[in-house]
Amino acid sequence: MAEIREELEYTETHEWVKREGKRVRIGVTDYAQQNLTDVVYVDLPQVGKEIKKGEILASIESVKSVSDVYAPVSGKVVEVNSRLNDEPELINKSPYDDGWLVVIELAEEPEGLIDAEAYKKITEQQ
Amino acid sequence: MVERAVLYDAHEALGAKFTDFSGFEMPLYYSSIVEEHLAVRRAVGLFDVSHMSKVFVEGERDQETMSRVTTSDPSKLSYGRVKYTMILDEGGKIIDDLTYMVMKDRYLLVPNAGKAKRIESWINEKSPGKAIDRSKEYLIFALQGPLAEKTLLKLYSKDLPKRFRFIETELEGYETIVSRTGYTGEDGFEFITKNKELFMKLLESGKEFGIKPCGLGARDSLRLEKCMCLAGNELEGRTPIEANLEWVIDWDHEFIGKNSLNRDVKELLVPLLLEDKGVPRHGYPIKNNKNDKNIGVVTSGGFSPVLEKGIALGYVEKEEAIAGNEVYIDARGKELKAKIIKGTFV
Repeated sequence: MAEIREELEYTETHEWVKREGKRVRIGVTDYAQQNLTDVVYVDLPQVGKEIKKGEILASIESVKSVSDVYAPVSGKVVEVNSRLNDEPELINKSPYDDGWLVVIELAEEPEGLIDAEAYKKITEQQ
Repeated sequence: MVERAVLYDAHEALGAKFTDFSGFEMPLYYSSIVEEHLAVRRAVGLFDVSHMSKVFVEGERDQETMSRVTTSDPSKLSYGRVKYTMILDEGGKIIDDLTYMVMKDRYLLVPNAGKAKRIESWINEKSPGKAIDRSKEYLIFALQGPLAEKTLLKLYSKDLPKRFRFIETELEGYETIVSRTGYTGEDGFEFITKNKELFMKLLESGKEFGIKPCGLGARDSLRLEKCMCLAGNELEGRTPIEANLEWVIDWDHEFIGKNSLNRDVKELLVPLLLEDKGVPRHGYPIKNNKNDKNIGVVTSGGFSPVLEKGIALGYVEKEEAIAGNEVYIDARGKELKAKIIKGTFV
């Protein structure tokens, strides 16, 4: 069973969002990493990049496939998890903690995020 | 319709994530594709490959049939041999690749998953022999890796078959075919049996050697590292010559497709090792690195857990199919440098 954390917000495309004041930390969910299989490379954006909600934020190459991660919010990338360059498997081992992808400084209040319960329903339907 | 693995519950209890492969819901992986892959290369792994087809060819004219429908000449093979071969259409194009076992009074063919009905009707239509699909009656488990023999010897202390040979014997109370074959490039055994319990028995027996249950994910990366073809990706619609598999053809006998085979081919299958970070995928274009011209396409791509690099098989224009040739693989607009290599990746 995939872990879903109560305190996080989610998207229907399997990203999680953690509020940290005016910033949000973003990653992919445990459900997503289980379906990706072993992650072998991660393509992260440059720090400073302005990104709009719905645009491609990162690409994750796994043993099985390549998947795009979509920006769940609009804003500026202020931090990227550079540990993933050498340890891409952190996404599999620790999707909610050490395997985070980026921190974005919000340009506007996020819209369309769903809570843990709604996200759980999505994973159960798939 | 997707058919569930007979051992679905056992796999689920072992933590399997499932995938649909040729209409069968089979384990994709249990813990991690990379860990399962490395277990097979360094120790031992166990696969449930019961989705593979099982077709018997019987009757007085069974040998004549096998000679006619496959590229091999069974008159040269004695009881106990396992042969890798191909079934071609009249145009010389591959319908399927398979192994078959030379039994006392019949042949047991193991074509790819989902191909049983096609092979059965092809043989019955094109030859004097009788083919019978009995895929649902048997399970196939593959025990693979350098410690496969030690694992098996804990359950079975009699003589084991040599490479590409099989024995029919009683194992754990069931008549079982034990064949020293596989699809990983390692030593190992394949068991054709009606015994559902054998899977868990073998896992138990391999515990002290670090055995892992392995899914189709590792099966695919293992065969790719050894440049073994996957029928649906590399073979269907191609000739054995294009696929660089002329060694499977025995030219000394007549078989369907023989007269259409031609060494003057336009494209050849080559292995490609990535020099850049990235993973090539099925369908990515292969380009000449000087003039950017498309020269081919990736048929199977993946990540080699042993080399920790991207690897691929693909068809390229014959003139470009030279070991050492540097090319680009177009990965969704990103150009990844790759080199055509000679031999296998590991």
